[in-house]
Amino acid sequence: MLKILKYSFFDLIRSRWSYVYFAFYLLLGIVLLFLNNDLSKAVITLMNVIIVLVPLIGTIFGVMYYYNSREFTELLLAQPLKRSSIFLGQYLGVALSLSLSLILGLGIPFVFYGLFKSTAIWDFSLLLITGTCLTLIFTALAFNIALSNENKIKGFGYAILLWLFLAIVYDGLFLMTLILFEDYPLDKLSLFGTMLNPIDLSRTLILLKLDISALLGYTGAVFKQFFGTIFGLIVSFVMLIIWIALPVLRIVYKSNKKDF
Amino acid sequence: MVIPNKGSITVLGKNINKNSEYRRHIDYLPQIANFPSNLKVKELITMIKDLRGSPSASEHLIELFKLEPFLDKKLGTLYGGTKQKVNILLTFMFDSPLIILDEPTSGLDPISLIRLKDLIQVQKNKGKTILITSHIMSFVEEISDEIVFLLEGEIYFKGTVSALKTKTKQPNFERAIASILIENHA
Repeated sequence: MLKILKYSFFDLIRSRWSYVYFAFYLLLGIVLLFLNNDLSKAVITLMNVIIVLVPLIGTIFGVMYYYNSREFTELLLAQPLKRSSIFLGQYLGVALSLSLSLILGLGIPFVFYGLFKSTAIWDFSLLLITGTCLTLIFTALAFNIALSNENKIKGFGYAILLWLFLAIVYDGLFLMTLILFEDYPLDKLSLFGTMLNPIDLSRTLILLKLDISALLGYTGAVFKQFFGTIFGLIVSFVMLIIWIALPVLRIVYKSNKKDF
Repeated sequence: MVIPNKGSITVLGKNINKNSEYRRHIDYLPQIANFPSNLKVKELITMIKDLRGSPSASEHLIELFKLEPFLDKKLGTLYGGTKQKVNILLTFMFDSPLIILDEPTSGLDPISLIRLKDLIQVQKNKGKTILITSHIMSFVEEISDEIVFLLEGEIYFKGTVSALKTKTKQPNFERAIASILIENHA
């Protein structure tokens, strides 16, 4: 697996798209720092961008890489390698190169700005950690979609729909439920609903870390009680890891059953 | 590549179900030569060697197919014919008893085609089993000992080229194949 990972990683970090993705974050980081002059505000703006963009790029890249390297995968399948190691290697290659672009692209301007002397370092690290988690989650989901769909167009369609659902539609439905049932105590439900969507979960985690939960009103207080504690933080990370683990397990399962 | 619904497949006398080691004994040439576009030719060769871990000889093949000037180029920038040469190189650099070639002639220039035929002949003389699929009849006629004619998953003919000619009473191999087609689909 590590050999496949090594070579697909080498292939990907030299692709034009990796540079564009890296340059985008670099530019974003620089612009935000110089327009804002305030690290924690910059972190908040970055969070809003990352929460939406990382899943989108993760899904699109994952699906694109899988379909593009189909013939090469066939060649690999004819080598004395385990199927699971081929696909896990490719998956990690994509996810790690994307994460690297994210971490370096944002990290470099912030380090130059004087991150290590600032108190925002923990907020910033949390941002990068959740960003990496989101990349891992959505690339894994993308590989699942691609493995299940022979048709490229269909695969891309499902990938976009998945992103649209988790990034936008889910929130809409969630709010509608809260409004519809506003006469009932909803704190448990909303806590639960947040846990089920990795994007919402990451957003809540960062918002609470930034200590602006007052903005969230009453539910915010409940959230603060839960996520603000070490226990809540651990539960959230466990949730994110489950979100990574389940699709990865399905990649292994699916790739062992599939005909090529 | 396809997982069997039932039954068993043996390679060199060993059941291959749920096992990937048997592939060490097979050299496979895929039909479409499409490689990671940002790797260099040299890196791809090292990668496949690295993955197989078997003894290999790529130098004389690089020379045979005149690939020397392309070694430092990225795979994404190569022409179809050159990619196919790289593909052939990757297949023949190992010394396995079984060779499977899927449309090996596609995109090749005449000189490389002759070299490929010679290469196949050399491997044949070493006593290896070579399985080739092709739709170029003259190539099949020249190179093969035994042919199997498949149409939509069914075997229509199995035997030598001369047996096919006698069976269909056609003087020429291409017409003999065509006559089977006409008989079944007229």
